[in-house]
Amino acid sequence: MSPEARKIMPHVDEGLLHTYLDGELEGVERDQVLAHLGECAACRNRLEEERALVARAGELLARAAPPNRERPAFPSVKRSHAPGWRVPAAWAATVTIAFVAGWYAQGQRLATELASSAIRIATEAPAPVTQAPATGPAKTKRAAPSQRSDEPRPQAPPAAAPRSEEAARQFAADAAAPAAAAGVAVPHDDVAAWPALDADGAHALLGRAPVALPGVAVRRMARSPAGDGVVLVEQEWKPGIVVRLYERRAINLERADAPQPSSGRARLAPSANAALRQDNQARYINSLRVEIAGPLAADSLARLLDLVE
Amino acid sequence: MADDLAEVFRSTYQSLVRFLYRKVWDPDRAEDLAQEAFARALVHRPTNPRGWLFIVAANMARDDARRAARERRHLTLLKSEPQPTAPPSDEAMHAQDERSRVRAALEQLTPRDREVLLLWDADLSYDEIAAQTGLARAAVGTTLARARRRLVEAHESGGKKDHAARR
Repeated sequence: MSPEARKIMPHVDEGLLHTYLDGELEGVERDQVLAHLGECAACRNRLEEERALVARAGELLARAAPPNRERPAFPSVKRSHAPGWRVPAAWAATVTIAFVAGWYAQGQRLATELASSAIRIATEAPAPVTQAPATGPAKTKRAAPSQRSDEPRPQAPPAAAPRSEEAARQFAADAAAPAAAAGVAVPHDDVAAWPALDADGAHALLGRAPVALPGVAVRRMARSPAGDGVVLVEQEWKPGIVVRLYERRAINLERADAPQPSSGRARLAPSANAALRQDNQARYINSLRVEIAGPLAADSLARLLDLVE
Repeated sequence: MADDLAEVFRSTYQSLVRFLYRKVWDPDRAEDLAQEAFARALVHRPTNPRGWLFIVAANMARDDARRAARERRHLTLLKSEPQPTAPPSDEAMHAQDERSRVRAALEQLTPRDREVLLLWDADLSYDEIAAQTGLARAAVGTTLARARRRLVEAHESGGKKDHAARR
């Protein structure tokens, strides 16, 4: 025990006592607390009180535990049949539509394609979403780093939330599997790096103003660096929940100045797959193809999609 | 990655069910949601599956609670008929009563305190809770101390109220 550790430690606050009792106190701080407890009877008494409190709270929570059932086998996780999770059927339907559309566009060289702006809404869930929205002011996206130089614990990965970059990477990874199977190009989905775009630029790319969730401020607009005419509209749907809309212009293959190559329609397939694999819902709205996806329940996404205009 | 997820499934499934149960208060629903979360993880392949699972589970539980509230409104009239099940045993009644009291006490906590307490009880570390909630790691202990105290106090005062009401 260093002499400093003895000197600087005032009475131990209850937060530190609980941290100690939970086995989460480490390094110098732990030494300091132990040193102080060794000398301060008042804090030792409080430690025992807090220990009883921790035990009592744990006991109460145990009374509100679910019945201890056997864990199902992995990965034969069964799908719930509750109304909110009709995901597999939606996947199958839209995957089929996307592949048929891609095959049709390549094989038949359709003179005029139906408007097919693809809008993908990827909903991110950064750190604060585990809390109810009403809990207080918006928090920083990243957890504040530990004040101490603790060694990282093996069971404690540094970042728990799927943040924007990670979500984008997952999205790209999701896109890769079906795309490889279908033999089509994968759109670049590292959206954090997409060049910014203003309203006029978006209008020029889409041939119309981009659609969005009404009454929700647009945080950012960007365009796909792949030159495929995809416009990203980012909106903060709720505090801490960023909604992404990917919009694509209608393809008109008859026009010489059409912004898409003839394979453009086919290239929608992997996007559609990628979005589908995130439990998406898709529909046509005013000649735009609208897709929604994200780590929210399918019915929430569907409700969000209803709002887009 | 599938192996990683299988390992996470082994180590985390029960905790996730416990976490979800304290949100939806229906064991079948909690298991369905936990399995749904893992099914999604299989698709998404998150780099940090544990944190991802709890975030997704919390979102699903919230949506589920909203939908349940909606369905309750629609089913109020239908539910007026008594259920034709056998009366529960005294023991089951007692356990049910205890659970209701703890649930009522948990609902006295602020959403943040409750979330931190439930995450801790679902075996997340302070670092994981900090990452999950946006709290500083140093604030997790303080939050847990407050949450535990309020839980115990709310449970005791609720019990006294029950006692007084029975007399």
